[in-house]
Amino acid sequence: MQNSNLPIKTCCLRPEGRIGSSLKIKKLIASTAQEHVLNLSNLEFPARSLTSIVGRSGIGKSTFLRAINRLLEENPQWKIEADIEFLGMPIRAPKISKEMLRKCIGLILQEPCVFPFSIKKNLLFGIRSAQKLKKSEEISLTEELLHKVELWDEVKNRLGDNAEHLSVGQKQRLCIARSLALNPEILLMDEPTSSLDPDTTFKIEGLIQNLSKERCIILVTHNPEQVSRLEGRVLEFYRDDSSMGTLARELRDEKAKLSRALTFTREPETFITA
Amino acid sequence: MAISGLAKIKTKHVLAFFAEHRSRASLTRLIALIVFGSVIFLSLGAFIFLVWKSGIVLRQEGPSFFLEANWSFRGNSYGAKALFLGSMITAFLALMICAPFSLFGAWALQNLRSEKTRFSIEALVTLMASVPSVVYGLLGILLLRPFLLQIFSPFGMETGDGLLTASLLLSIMILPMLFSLHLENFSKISKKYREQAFSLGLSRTKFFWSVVFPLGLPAILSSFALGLGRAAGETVAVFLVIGRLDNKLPSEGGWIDYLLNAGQSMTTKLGGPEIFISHQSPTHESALLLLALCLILMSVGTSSILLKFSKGEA
Amino acid sequence: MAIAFHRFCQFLLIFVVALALALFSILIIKGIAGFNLSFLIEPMANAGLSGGVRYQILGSLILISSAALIATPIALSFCYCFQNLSPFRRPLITLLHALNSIPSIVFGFLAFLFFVIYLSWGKSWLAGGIILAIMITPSLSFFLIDSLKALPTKYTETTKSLGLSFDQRWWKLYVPLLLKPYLTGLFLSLGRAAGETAPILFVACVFYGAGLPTGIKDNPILSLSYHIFQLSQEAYDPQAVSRLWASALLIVLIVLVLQTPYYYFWNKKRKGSQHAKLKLTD
Repeated sequence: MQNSNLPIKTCCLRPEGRIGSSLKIKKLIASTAQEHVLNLSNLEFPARSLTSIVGRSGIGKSTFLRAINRLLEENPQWKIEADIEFLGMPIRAPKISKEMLRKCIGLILQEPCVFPFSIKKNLLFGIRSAQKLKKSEEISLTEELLHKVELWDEVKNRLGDNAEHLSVGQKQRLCIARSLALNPEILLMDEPTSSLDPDTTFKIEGLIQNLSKERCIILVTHNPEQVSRLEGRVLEFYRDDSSMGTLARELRDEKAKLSRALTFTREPETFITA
Repeated sequence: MAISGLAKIKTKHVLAFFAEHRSRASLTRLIALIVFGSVIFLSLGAFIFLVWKSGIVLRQEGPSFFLEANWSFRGNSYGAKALFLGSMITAFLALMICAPFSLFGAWALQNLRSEKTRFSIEALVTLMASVPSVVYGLLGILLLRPFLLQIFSPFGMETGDGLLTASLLLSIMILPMLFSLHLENFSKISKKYREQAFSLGLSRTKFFWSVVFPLGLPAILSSFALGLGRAAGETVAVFLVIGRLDNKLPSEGGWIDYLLNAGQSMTTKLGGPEIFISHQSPTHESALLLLALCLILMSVGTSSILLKFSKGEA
Repeated sequence: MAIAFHRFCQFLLIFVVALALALFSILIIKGIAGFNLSFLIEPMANAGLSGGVRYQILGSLILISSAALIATPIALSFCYCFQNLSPFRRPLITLLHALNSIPSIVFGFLAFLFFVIYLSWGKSWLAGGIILAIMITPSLSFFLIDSLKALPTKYTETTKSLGLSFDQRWWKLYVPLLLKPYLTGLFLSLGRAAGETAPILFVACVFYGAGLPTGIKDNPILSLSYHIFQLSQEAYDPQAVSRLWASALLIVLIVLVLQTPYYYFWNKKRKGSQHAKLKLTD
């Protein structure tokens, strides 16, 4: 993909051209009618990095991801005040359509969602609606993407088969490849390996680590071992008694990284806020 | 400095081609809106047309359209009381006959232990609901009519066509629909409370009268209302067995004579030959349009009450 | 006392079942006598007293096919508007429920005034197709809307995250996925339309004298339901009676064939959902 010469117009930036910060969250306050959920400020996600987000269940990690790709605001229950910059541009600017933003920010869910179409059609689903590809371009893109997610050998002879017959691990890799087809700047991942067995988990963690060399990856996880296996920043989402919503802080300490991923305690500790 | 320069290039580049894909207009949306708009326009137009044209006969007849039974297009009088009465009586009678069978029969089916038998009976009743009304009309003419004539001729039935025949036929027609609705209702309630009730020692009958019936009453009543509406709107089957005789009222010869002999209802009037000649006289046409308007108001009114009711329920 | 009530209910149930069985048995027994190949293939002769019902069958098929072709884009448009234009949802649903509840004869009468008198089309098969389409559109639209609601929400979330606009989602995801359920719903409605007489009574049908249509104006059509309707009003001739039963059996068979896919899938879904409910607790 680094050396791909395909005229993929969606996200214009080649990996070599990615520098600076992909995402700057100056302010993100999200609340429903019942409670204040998110109260984040001054978070920065550099290009070509891996950031793991940990925190207890229900604290708003998934909400955070969906606020970034503007999926949250489609639900009328949410009130959002956000000052988020993507590539130096505010994401709510009228010039940018939601659809274009989402093509540059991919989202991988916990449960891989494949449509009841063929593997090839699933893979090319996103890119086909972004631009017209020639037959030859489609074929080479398919091969390239499947090689990248290490799925090529397993499915190369049955690209026309229904994708629902794949195993969960294969489906998840297919979903990642599908998002990669759009060459996104940021990949948001919401517990991508929770439903997978250990072997597949390792494979995908390796893939994520590789991807973080060329894109900004924001990963939500519950697994402390995963946090320790992956090299990158770790952000913890937490709540104070006085805070209106979830705050975030970076964890630098190795032990804290391990324990915090499953934390329920509320010890006050001094950490450097990102 | 160099970094900020590169950052600037990035922003411009990205902005430029973000701006390409802005427009929300699309051909699909346009076509869908046109179709939707035209249907609304046509429906409203038809309704306004109905209301407008009905005015003519109302101006001529006034309230006697509803209160007098002297419909005669040749004599230019349009009292439709007999028609309203005919529709209402056949529909109500049909419901009354059908109600116990659908209600208690469905309860008996709900209590059936064998899953297979239950499924077959359900399938059978659903099949019965698919039978077209014209076939029911045929059955009415060829079977029901002579059968009733045999029974009721000592009571004064002359031809076998009449309101009673129509009511019986209608009750057979709405039976499958009511049966399925009640079955669904009972099934929902029964699943929820069955175990509790039986472990408290309630018999099935007590369970029905203390739990299922009270809880299911709103749904039962709305099913009945649906059945009533269906019966009142049925044309073809009723047309064939009602006799189509205008201006009969129970006050003339008593209720027995009224029910056992030929009559007319709103739908059968609208399904009859008068439609073809109506356009020769604006008053005649207007009278028929007013009948149609009344039918529409009754059916739409019933369905919106039912809708509000079931929404309030849920 | 409790037992008495229970027996009473069972007795009523037996009555209902007996009624249904009797209905179908009579239909089959009396209908099968006149049911042979020539009945299906021959055109009608002698004002219905002999010959077959070839053009009646063809006429009914033409009517429901044109109804399907006209109703499908309308129902799709309604579904699209329901999904995409949320301020219009309430009026749309209200309109659909209102249209759904109107008796069929009113449609027939209004269609007569519009097509035969106002447009001077005379009796026309196309008018019949249009009015049947209007009649089945509400239930088709409801069916589409419910099928769309039944699609897993993660599909919508995933396609949105891939940056697809509503139109793209509509054509690339929803429509292909809705195709199969829509067809079953369509055939269900067509089965109902095949049995309808009232709407086409004035605008499209004649008893004899029409073959296949050659144009739009003054091109009436024969229909199996209208055939039964007219013939049953002159049910004194025993020959006519035997043909009546055969036609009745035929129309019931046609309706059942059209409606079977729906009931087959509906039943599978019912059984399937029970299984799904069990799975959730594992």
